[in-house]
Amino acid sequence: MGIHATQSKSVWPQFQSAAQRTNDGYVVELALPSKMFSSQQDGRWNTFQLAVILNGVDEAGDPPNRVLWRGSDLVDGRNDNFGHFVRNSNK
Amino acid sequence: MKADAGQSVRQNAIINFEETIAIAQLSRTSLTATLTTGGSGPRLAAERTIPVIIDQRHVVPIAVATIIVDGRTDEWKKLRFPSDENPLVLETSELWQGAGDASFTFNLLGDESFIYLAVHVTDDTVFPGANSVKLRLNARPIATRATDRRLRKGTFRVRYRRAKCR
Repeated sequence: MGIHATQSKSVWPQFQSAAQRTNDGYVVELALPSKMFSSQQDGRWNTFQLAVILNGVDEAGDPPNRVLWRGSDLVDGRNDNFGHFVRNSNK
Repeated sequence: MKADAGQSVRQNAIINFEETIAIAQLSRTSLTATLTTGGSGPRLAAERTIPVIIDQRHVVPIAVATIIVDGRTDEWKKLRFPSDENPLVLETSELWQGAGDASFTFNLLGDESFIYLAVHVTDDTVFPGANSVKLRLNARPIATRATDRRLRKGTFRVRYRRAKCR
């Protein structure tokens, strides 16, 4: 399932996103509804996997390079080497 | 290790450490593979270095303060996950010039309603519409995602383009 930040409100109305420029780049902040996760895990999320990809372009018109945190060269199709996150058990 | 044309070969290696090594140091492990052609024709060679992912599970901390999604990180004490010193870079990896060129740090926080994510991107050149942050989220139960590693139903792609920055 694909979610674009500008389309996601129709899929997950609570989805929130914002960004700001900084001196050295920019900041992106997102609020992902817990239901995105809990809907797959019997009502309460306990764990999920994540890979983060930064697409950067050095010259206008150039293809982007993709800098990955976790994942593999198959990051768009497989979860190999994804980071593993768990719910805080004190919650 | 040799492979005939059209064939693939696989090599497993077991490495035993005689002393304890911190995860932070292990996470810098990389693998360099050198490929050369054989036979009577011109000899071709290629080399590629990729990070070896040695990771642990990460707890999503509870948000102590209310997170206001405004693109500022005031409520975030620290963005604790940096992109690696030698990250896996795809597509035009030869054009990547290091952390100052394109890198990021991020963190996650959670409450009952949301999982929050903040990403601070360091990028010396930013082109609206071309620069973006993408997430690949896999929310399927562990047993499912371990047996089927394809990103299918229950996985999400989130993309945030720089064009939306104020």
